[in-house]
Amino acid sequence: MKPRFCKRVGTTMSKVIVFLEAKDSVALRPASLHAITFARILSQALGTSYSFVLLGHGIAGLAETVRGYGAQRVYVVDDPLLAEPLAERYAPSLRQVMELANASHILGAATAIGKDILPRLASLMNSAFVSDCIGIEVLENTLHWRRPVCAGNAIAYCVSETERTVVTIRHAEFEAASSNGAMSPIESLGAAPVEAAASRIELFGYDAVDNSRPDLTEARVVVSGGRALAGRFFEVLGPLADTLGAALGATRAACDGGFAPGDFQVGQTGKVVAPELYVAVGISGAIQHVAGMKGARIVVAINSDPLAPIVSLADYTLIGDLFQLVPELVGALRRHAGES
Amino acid sequence: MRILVPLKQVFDPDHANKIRLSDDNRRLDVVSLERKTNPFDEYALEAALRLTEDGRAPRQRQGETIVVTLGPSDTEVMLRAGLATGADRAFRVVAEDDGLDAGCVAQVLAGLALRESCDLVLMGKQSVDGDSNEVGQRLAAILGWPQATFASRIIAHTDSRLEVEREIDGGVQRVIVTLPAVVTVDLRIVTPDAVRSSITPNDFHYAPGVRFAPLPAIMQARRKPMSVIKIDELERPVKRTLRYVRYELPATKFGGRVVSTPTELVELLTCEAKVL
Repeated sequence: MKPRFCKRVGTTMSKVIVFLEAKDSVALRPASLHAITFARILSQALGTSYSFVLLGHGIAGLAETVRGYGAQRVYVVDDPLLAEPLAERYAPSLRQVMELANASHILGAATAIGKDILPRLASLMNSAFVSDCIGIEVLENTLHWRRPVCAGNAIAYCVSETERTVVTIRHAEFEAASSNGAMSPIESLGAAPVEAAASRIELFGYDAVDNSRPDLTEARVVVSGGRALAGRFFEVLGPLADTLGAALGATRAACDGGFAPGDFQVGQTGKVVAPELYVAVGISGAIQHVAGMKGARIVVAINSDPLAPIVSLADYTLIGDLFQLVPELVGALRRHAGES
Repeated sequence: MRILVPLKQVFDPDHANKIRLSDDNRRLDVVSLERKTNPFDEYALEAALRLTEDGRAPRQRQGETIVVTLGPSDTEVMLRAGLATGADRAFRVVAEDDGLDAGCVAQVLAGLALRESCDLVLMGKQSVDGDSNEVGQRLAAILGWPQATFASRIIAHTDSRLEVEREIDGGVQRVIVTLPAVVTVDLRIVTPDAVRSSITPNDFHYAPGVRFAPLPAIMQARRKPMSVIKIDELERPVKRTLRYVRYELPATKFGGRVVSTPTELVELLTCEAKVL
């Protein structure tokens, strides 16, 4: 019987690769720092090292900045073919690095890009794919991957049955890694040939959303609103978010109602956030929404209904008319900021 | 355009908080929960119907939509509902849920898409039980087709070129895919202007959401073809790669306190919670 390398802990082939995501070729997407933390946890459990892979075009400067995070090696594939993160182009180059490094695991943050590319890579390598991992457990020398299912209403433990395993990390569950000083060597590679399918998909345009506020999945504070805000969503929540330096989020109902843009949606089918502080304004707390924010450390609810499910979840609740309470809270926060 | 739309039967996500575990924690006990079609798959079916019609005259189909599921015989109800909504044919691939993972499902779908010469597989971005967001990408890789995941808008420029808008972190990306391809859909694919075939005029707007089958269509759906096939017939290498060994229920957090004024809240956030 063929040994199951991935399943058994501490075998010779164990080696972890972290897929780091570049943002406009010049910066690291902060979610990748959280993935590095997970890589440290995983490589410690496996008794092995971790390396990074960075794909893109014009990323030499960025590669320098990731050398201080304790990776055994930083694989850099800098090629015009990889200017845009399309799965048909990226997956073959990631597979090439896995083979070259003889690695057992590759992991990346569960961002839109990670969720798009990494399952395709798993299929190219005939490997198991673990989606949205929130932790690991070693039981009887076997690695178990923890992941939420059913909108977070149950946690599953799964075991990979293939030599290699591809993983996306629910990055909000892990701290951002900090640099530890040592300088990892860089290994530059040419891009692997793209898949034939790459010729049948082309990037046509990109509309960035207003990014004057922090990115929703990476913000320390999130202010979210429900349908009750209706056409006054930005008028009411904007000043609160600005005062707190927060990202804005919304329920599915608020997005579907057209009161907030689609990419504001927090929940099972939207974004998963785990900020230090989550302020839920006019949000009842439907399970699909809660699935996206229950990792928040402190939850504040502002709601007119004392029996709303969000109240039993929140650490602090203000009961009353949100159109009156939110401006009062903005005033109280500004006074507090003035004092300190 | 011939479109394959995979449907998955899931338990009603609105009751996901009623999930219990089996005594040995090895399975989710969902027997008592109501079943329904995975919502994202329903959206994919609506998108497929919009792509194969002139929105002004939806009864005259301009292409073919095939629905498929993997499951036991009780999933045929869901396929019949898909046929009543407007799909032309259905396949049920005989399977039990326990033995399959996303990779197996992708192999089976690949086999069927090739056998039926489909131009497009249009499917939900994830199921609301497994939540793994994986089958569409795997399927595209197996077939060697391009993938456009998390689509919020699909405009057919011609019968073989689609403009797809994808919701990604920080913005919306627009790609052009040449068929055959795999497209997975996000929630906003059922908004009034989200999907347009090459013959539906620009000024036509759909009603929001998915369409419902009129009663005569439900009767007619009984006469539409439904084939039951076995996995072996598709001759694909179906091998499991991930095994689910046990489950636990998440720790529940019990409520905090009701605060009387915003000023008191700011004090608590500062001194007690220490988040300000």
